[in-house]
Amino acid sequence: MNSLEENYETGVLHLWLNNIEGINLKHIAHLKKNLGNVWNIHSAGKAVLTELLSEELAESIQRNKNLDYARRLYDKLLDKGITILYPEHSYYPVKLKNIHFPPQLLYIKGKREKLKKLNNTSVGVVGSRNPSTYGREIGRYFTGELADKDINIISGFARGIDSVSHKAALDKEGFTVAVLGSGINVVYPAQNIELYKQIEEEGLIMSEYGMDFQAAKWTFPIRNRIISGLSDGILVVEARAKSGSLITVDHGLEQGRQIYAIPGRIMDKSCEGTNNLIKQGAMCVNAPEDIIEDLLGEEYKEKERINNDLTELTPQEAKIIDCLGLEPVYIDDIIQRTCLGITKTISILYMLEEKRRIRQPVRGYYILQI
Amino acid sequence: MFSKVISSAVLGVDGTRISVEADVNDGLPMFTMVGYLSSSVKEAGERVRTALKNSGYHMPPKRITINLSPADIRKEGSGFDLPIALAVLLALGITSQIDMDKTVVIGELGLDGNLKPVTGVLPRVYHCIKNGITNCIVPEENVKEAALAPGMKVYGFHTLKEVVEFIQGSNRIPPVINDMADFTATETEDGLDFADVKGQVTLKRGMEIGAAGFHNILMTGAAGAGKSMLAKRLPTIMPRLTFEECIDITKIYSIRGLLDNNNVLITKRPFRAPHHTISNHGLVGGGVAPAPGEITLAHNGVLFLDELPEFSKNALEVLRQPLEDRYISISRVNSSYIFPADFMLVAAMNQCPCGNYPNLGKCTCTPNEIRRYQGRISGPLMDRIDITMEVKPIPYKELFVEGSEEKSQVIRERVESARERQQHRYKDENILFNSQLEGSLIKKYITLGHDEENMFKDIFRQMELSARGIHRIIKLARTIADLEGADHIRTGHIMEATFFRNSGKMYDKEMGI
Repeated sequence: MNSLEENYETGVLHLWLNNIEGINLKHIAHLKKNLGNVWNIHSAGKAVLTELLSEELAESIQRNKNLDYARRLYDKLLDKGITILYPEHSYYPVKLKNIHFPPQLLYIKGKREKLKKLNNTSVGVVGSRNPSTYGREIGRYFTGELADKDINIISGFARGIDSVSHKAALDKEGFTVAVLGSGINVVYPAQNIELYKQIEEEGLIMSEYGMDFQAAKWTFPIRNRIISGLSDGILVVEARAKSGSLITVDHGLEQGRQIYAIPGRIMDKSCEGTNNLIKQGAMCVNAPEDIIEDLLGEEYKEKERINNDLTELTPQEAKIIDCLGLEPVYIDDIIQRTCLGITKTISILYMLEEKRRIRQPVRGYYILQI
Repeated sequence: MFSKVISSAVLGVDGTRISVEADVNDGLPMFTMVGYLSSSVKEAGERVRTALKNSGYHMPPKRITINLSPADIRKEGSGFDLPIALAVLLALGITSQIDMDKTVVIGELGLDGNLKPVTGVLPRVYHCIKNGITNCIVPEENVKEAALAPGMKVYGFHTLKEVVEFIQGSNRIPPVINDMADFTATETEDGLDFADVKGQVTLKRGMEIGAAGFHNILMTGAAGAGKSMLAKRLPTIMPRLTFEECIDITKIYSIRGLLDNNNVLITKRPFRAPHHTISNHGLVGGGVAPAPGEITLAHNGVLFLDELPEFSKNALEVLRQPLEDRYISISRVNSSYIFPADFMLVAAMNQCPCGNYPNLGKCTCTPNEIRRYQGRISGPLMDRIDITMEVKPIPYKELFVEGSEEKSQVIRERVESARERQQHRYKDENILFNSQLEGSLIKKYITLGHDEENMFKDIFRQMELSARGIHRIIKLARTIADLEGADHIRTGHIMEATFFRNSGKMYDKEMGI
């Protein structure tokens, strides 16, 4: 079987099989189990197929034995630099093989040599599409630290936490995989086009769906099993009680992945989901080191999380740092608390921003930089 | 017999001299009026004939011809009734004891011979006094307005009969003269003051800078921050009006008939806040005979556009030219009219349709909705705004805290001295304020030290600004330095300018609080 693994024709046959109307991945898995490989499926007679599938589907395969369309499609994919992976492929991630319904065909954009990395330790990051500034900052911080330890960051390319985690990983020159709920060529959400290009360059973009397949409501939950499948652990940053992120968590639990949840305030609706997870037994993480220790077995070192070092600051700067946190504070409130006057306050804020101690998530509002 | 009476018409915001000529001759009894008249002036014929009869003057069955010259100017409005009536009477042979060549006559007549007030008296009378006409006859209600023209001898009357007796010399009344020597722009006390608004130090500071350098301002943020309240008080920190400015404003309001008869001279900077349903003609002026629009009414004052994205796209686009040129020119088939429009634009808007962004906990809009909403403000319009500020609603508990807020008077003194510095600096140029600085003038008037130069380089790189964006920051920094009385821009000024800058984009990718 090995000799059949990665040649052109095998690819064509996989494309052929996956594009037959009515044939889904359950059918393909079933056929492969009984007939061994795609070559045998293609050469199987109607009688054999009818034994394994319904008459209708067997008929459908018989009728579509011509490979011209699949060849043209494969040429086009190769032309666009899109790789396809199927379970028999040597680069197919081992972790994915062991999940329920592993994808029978994965379209991948990115550099081929990066494919090996898929088997490294990975964390899937999920969370709200409309996170609070706090959630965003914490998500960025956790993901950044994980990426710094060469842990792969897997996420779903959606707005909010997904995008934040991809960006944070890229910022730390880490490896990130975006698993799309749409076709591999579809940039959704469209404003993430820059991110898309960057991930294509430095990470991998992956989808179960063909080139220009438009995302539908049902594709995202199905896609989530790949995110959890590729990961060794799943980090839930900020999720509401009925968040879609929890679907990924469910898949992860089924697949035996560790669940990490970042705790939030109990009355805060935006972290109700994560808090519930902790109640149900997810691992409560309040530092990225918790995850690193759990996954890599590295020694936990107590570390100052936010740069609280006030010594290198002037007393006035320290005064301002003192009234900031991860919740945005409006400039008027800073002026009121520090009594420094507007002109003075603005210049100190400017200096602190320059020193990367604080940030303005929105004009006029400030938070500490972590 | 021939006679001539001087009157005046309004063109744009200025008066122009009109001669009303009458001729009474033998022939078929007729009353003919010529001279490019609008229908409201043509109707004057009927009013004059009836008013003359009811005032006790007999109209002989003769051929009467009236001409209003120059004949190439279209005459509008009702102010010609009285001069026509007088011209007819003079042509019929009553004798005048006063010099009709030095007297301008304006007024509308009722059928009973009573005089009625008209609009636009000040620009007409003002034009006349500049051209050597020293007496004026107006309806009693217009006397105060006419008397604003310095040196004009104003005579006010209630009826046509009184006017005729006056020119015949049998009814001598003293003229009202205003020499304006004692003019000080004492503002009528309406109780508005910056101190009325609690807190909002940043917003107040932004407005102070805006007022000092005539920078246009855009405020964003949820409702309840006091945006409209402060905008309304902005005129109280702007420099006091000079007499010439007062006259300019009063002329405009006179044309629109918006003068208060008790307080004719407008001594307060205008604050105009048109509703967002306004048409573009309502905003910039228009009509068959163009009348000034809101931007002209806001001349020398503040034009406040609340809910900016709700204004029609057209209305906002027509603002571009007047924001640049500080006047609006409206062309019609027969002539083109120029209205002054030197106003400070203050706009306010929510960042999203639901009004709660950047409070992500409350905002229900999608990023696309927010982007579309903010996209309604076109780039060229944004380019003309120097200051943008995000404001935060005041929490309820802070509303009742007793604090010592700065009075408008104190802020105004700083603004006035900053303006003086600018006027002194730009005395050789065609500009008055920092906000009007353009490319070559920036090079000429603004020199940066080594530190400051480096700071701008950093800002340019970090904030991904356009050249235009950097210029806006430089102009703002110049104003802030002027407020402080500094000759050179220092790093502190640049920092503050950067804070108030118009970054050109409001919606920071997916961010909120």
